[in-house]
Amino acid sequence: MTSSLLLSLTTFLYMAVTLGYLCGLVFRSRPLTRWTGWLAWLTTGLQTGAIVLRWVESYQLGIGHAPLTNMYESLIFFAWAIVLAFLILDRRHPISGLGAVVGPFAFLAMAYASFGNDTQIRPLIPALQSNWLIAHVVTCFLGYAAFAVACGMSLIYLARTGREGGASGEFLDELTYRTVLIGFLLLTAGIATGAIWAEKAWGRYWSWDPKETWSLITWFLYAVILHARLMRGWQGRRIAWLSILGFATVLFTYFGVNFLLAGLHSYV
Amino acid sequence: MPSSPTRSPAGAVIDFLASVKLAVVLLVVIALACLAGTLLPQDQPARYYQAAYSPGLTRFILALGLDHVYSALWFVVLLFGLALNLIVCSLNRLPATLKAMAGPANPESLRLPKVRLRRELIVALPPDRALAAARQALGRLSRPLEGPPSSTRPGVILFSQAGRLSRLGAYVIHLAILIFFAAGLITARWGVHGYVNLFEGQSADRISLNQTESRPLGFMLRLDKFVFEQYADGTPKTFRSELSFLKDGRVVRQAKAEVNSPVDFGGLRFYMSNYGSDLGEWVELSLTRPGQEEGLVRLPVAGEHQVAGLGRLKLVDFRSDIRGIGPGARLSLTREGSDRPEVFWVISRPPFQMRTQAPEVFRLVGYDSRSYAGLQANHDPGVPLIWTGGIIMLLGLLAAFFWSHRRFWIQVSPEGQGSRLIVAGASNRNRPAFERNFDRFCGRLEESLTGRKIPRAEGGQP
Repeated sequence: MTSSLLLSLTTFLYMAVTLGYLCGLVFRSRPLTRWTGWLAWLTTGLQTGAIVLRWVESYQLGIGHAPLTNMYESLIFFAWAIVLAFLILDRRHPISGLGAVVGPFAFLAMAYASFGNDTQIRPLIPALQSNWLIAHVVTCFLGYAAFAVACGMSLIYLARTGREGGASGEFLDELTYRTVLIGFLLLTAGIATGAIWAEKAWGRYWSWDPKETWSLITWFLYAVILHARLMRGWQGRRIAWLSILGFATVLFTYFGVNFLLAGLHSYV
Repeated sequence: MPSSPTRSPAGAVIDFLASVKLAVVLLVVIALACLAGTLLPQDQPARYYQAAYSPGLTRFILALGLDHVYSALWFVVLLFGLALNLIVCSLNRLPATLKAMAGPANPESLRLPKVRLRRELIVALPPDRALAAARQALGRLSRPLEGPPSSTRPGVILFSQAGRLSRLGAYVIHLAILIFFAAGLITARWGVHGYVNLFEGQSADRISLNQTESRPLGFMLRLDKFVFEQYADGTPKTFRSELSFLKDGRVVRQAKAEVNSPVDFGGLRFYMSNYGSDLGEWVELSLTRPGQEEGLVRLPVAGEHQVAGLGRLKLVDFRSDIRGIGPGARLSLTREGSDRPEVFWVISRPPFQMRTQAPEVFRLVGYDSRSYAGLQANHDPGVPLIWTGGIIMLLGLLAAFFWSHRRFWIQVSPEGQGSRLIVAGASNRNRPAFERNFDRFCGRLEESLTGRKIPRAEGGQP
């Protein structure tokens, strides 16, 4: 299958992108960073093509469905969304070093996707045969991607403010907050679509299933961040640490629940 | 939070209930409870925890109800606490917000505010024409309020605002959360979650609510057909129950319930939930009596069966699988001339029968295995509120975080032959974006005042 090949290529290119950003940062080379940016755009374009192709291939197999139905496909979409979110942000507000922090997220997601996961296109089981699939998965993973980028910015903030701080730190802090907001909006939409879908599929809009419960824990955590900032004026390092903790709960909601806890939400 | 040392005890209580600190503490404690609820298996019998954890930990788990976190009283109390906190804090803050939304009460009271974003423009245009340009610039936001010159003010002051409603965003989000609470309460109080298992051709006029309770449907539900389809690779493709709804013996509706596509009838929503196989009409036993040939007995599910020369046989219980060793039938045998029945299990592999000293050997040969469809039958009046709450919350989030209350003031006074304008701007959030917005506003105003193109800062949008 061509899509699998393109996705393997994407994985290697994301590794190159990560290394490019890392070298650009270490050697303080602007041209290298700029060229890496172009490579990142190219790779994302390639990955977009691969995802669309996988979608088309599923129809050719007679089991057509959006490629968002298992661990492999969701990881690929996650990586795609992370890089896209980063690139859009980077065009408007380039943050030195962010590519070197966020790049590994995308590369690791792709690498992990291709190891130990079923890469075949599988037919859709009855539980997933719903129009809510795309809305629910896309909103959730775009939200996760925003939180990933916010976490990357927080890491940079913590690394930087040890030395400089000042106006650029304030800007980074504001940008982190804005990214968290976008993630929060998307996570809310993801939980809402999930509840509506669950009512249709399982007969209950909320079952305290581990996946649901952890998404709620994540939502609470980001709600605390927003309140701490808006109502208590928290900024800087404290928000950065909370944003990192928030992304850790996102990762647990995504992976931990599936590997460690049993529940209804066994697909991804 | 308005708090002052002179508040009464009641005021102090309100301040506490309205505090962000309480909200954060509640959120964190609820999150930790949820954490426990996902890490500890829920709703297991006490002996499960005794086997899995140390005696001390088990006592702790059972005492706190951590074996059923989400229905534990203290958890529900925490949720109500959060709802109360939301209500009190929203009501507490609302007057100040409404005041901020209203803006200046009358034109005479208009003053240039002490804000960071301020710009001074000195232009050659006479004050009346400068004023007209300022009016036009502000008119894009809303009809400007105009304060006349006074003893304390050299010129005319104009004020316009936009996005006032965004200040209500946080309240709308909190309202949505309360709507979710209401939905949960309505579901808990008036929701019906029942289930019924039907063989093909079988009808039911009741649904089970739990192990012991059931409730009448008010009509007959019949499973005409259960369809299970697989893809070529064996993955399940379709689970479908073809249902008929009957009233007074007549079919009034036929519909297909599939996973993800439930059927609504008579105020209930029927879901294709699961399937399995179970005992139909009979079990078949082989009977070997001492000194006799092996014989077959077909034992019906209901009623007693007379076995010549032995006694009355009755099926008491049946399991399609007993701990992995296959199906088992529990029989009651009342021998001729006795009134004390012997009750024992019969299975399909050696030792065939358990807990009996009977000289005969019974063996379970087969049974009428029929597949059944498991249907959920729900009535949940909370669902429309979930939809409403979800939509309201998303709108509230957009209003609260991606929209802002922007205010502009322009003071126009004579300056020699020309005019002097002071522009001030304020936004309740998104300050960096508003600064660019303010720059553009001033640029446009200056263009209209001077007729010159003003180079704009990079990154701005027209």
